[in-house]
Amino acid sequence: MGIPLVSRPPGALSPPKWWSGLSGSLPLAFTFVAFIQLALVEDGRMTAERFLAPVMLAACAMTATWLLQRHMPRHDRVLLPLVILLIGWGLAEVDRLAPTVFLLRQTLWMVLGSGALLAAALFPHGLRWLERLRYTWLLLGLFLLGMTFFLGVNPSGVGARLWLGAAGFYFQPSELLKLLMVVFLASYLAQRQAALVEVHVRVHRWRVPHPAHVSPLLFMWGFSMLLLLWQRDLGAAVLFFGLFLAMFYAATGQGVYVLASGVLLIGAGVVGYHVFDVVALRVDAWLDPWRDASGRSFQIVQALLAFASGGVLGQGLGQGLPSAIPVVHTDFVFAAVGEEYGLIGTLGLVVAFMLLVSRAFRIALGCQRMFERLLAVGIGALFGLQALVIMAGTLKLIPLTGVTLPFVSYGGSSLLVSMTMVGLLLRLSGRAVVRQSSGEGKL
Amino acid sequence: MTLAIIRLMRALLLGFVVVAGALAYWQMIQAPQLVARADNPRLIQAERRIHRGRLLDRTGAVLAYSAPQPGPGHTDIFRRHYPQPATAHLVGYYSLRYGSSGCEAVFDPILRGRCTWLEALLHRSQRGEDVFLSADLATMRLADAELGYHVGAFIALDITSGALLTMVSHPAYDPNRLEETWKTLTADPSAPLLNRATQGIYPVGDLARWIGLAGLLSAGTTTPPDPLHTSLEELLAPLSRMGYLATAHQLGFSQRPPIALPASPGRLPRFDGRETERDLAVTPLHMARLAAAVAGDGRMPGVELRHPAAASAGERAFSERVARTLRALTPTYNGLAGWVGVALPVETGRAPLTWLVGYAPATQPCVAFALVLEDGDNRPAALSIARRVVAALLP
Repeated sequence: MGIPLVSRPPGALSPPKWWSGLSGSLPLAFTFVAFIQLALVEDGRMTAERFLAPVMLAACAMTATWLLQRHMPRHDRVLLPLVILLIGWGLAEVDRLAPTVFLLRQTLWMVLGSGALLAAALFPHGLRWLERLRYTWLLLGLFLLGMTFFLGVNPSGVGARLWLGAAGFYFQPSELLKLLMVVFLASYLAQRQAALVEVHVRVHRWRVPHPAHVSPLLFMWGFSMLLLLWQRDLGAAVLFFGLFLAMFYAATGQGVYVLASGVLLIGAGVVGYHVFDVVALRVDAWLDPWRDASGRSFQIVQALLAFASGGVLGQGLGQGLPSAIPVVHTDFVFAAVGEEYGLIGTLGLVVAFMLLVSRAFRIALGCQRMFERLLAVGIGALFGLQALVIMAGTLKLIPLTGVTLPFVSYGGSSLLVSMTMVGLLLRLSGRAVVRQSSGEGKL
Repeated sequence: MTLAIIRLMRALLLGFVVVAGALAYWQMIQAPQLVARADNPRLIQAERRIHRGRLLDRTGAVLAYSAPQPGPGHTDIFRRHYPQPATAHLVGYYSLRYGSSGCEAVFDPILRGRCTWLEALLHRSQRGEDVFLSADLATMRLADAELGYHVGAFIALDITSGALLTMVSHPAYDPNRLEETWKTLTADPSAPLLNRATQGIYPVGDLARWIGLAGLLSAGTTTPPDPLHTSLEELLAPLSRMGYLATAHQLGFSQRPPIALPASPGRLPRFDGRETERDLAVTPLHMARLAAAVAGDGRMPGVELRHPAAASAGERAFSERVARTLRALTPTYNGLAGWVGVALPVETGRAPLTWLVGYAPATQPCVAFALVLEDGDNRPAALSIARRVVAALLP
């Protein structure tokens, strides 16, 4: 397959001692300051239960840092502090924007997510089982997703029934499907990469990949898309489309398909605009939100007003009026940050996600096995795309589709799956270097 | 493949750069216009957090105040209270839904105060200043009680400073319940929201005699020896219609009276066969200013709402000599001098109305007033109302 070596693998130089202290404590300090701010704004009483969430976060963060340092000393040192910052920020926003019980739930999911992160990072066996059983995983994900057609509920009582519930806990299978889709695509593309690039058939004047190699892929992916569209989970469908293109491009390096798909997407958008009311509504709200500012484009207009009222410095946590935006704690948490932390805060979030994405891609470049490489690319692309779709959506750059801002928005399944993916990234970063330094080729 | 991965990463990072650009656009460049949009809920929120100053009468009695109540986001919001509904038309209302009126609107910049950058930064509630009104609460309550179920208005001015002492209009409304009753109030044919003292236009009727007299005396024309008992046509004969209109203009009837509250200009008669001198229509405030000119040195004071009122230069209606002559002709009723008259509105089907315009005390006047009752020829009621209310105003 001929994988070029990366000149400087991530984490190859062990970071200076002060870095681990500083990077570990700064995100936690930020979180504590936010919770203190919220307590001050509310009534000034510093009760213990108010700080349950940040204390749990600190406990999880310290445990994870310690275990990772002990068992995987050469893992990527930027990733974990970055994710702790985002999660801490998210907990503070959930406390700010949603009722108390939501914060408790989110904290619980965060603890579960930390377990999943550590398991994914430190699970003693290789990732072969993940790679081999690709159809099983994807089918499992699709099965769970399919279950929502029969057993689906919506925790809030109204709206799309995308959740499976048991004992007061709700899980959104489409979130798990994201991870399973990344695994499936990475595994499939890693196996057939050469064939996809080299074996072609002629259709008319164009050379396209052989159907034998591309059809299982298109079938599985198309089936997932259909399920999501049927469920009207437009956000997840958009993400899967982008993820597929990104990973296909990364594996084959052929940009013409990306272009063709882009044209296809725009075409589908135009058709959808005339056929589906949902699509027409979103596109109209995007093109000219001011025309129906109190009606159909209420959300986007209120989001823009929140950004504007934040200005550069922000109103201060707990002192703005982000609650004017409907469902602010999931889809519009970015606008809430914009109002209360200002441009400084939103640019900080953008930079954090840029760092996260570039770390994921650096880890990918440091991996030698094709599957691992594509896995890291897929995870990085997924984080990047998801953040971009919701950020650009709330800023009226693209039509709005409801997805969560990874780690920050309220949403347990999303947090759990995102943390698992970070665990996988950490594992790949640690292993890539260990293997390179020891020259050990075995998994 | 490495190249493709690097390109993919660059594309994603470029996306974030575009997002950063959009952030700068909305949070810096577009922010001022957006924040000022009328549908920004933060404006209402900010408005509700203003601690408006109080409105007080000349003695310091509270007419309107703001009381805090817990609001969303753990900040106090303020609700406006009006402990004296008798002052409704003078004080007005302040409503987030229906705007403001009366002194609440006139003194809004003072009442709301200014927000310094420090207060904005610390999210402190903006605090306005109190405003003392020249009106006297006790008299206003008395006038309100005396007017009772009559439809009409009473207004009284200080003849030298023009300070507004009393202003009551009936039917009235309760500003505390404005938002709940708005629909009924606006649909009510008796127009309770209308301030009849400054916005109600009434034909002068019998009082055309006094306007004509002022015109005749100013022109230096000889008047009949007993001008109160000559017929109106005979009395006004030397004064042409143009002369009558010029007099009305000179007395300020064709203009809005100089007051900060909403007020209407008078309406000159058209002399088209239906309308005569009696159909010159003016507001009670126009009449009260004319009475002030008669009671004083011939100058009509500007109307002052705040206390203490500075001496007003006023506009000259006629010379001091004319004022003295008119005073000599004005009948007196128990210490109060005034002109009683009935007017019949041109619109058929409307009841006649009663005017009482005058000043007190009869010998050394200091207060000028005008009273109008819309419900028929009710001269005794007008006299008894005016007598009691004006007595309360005199030292």
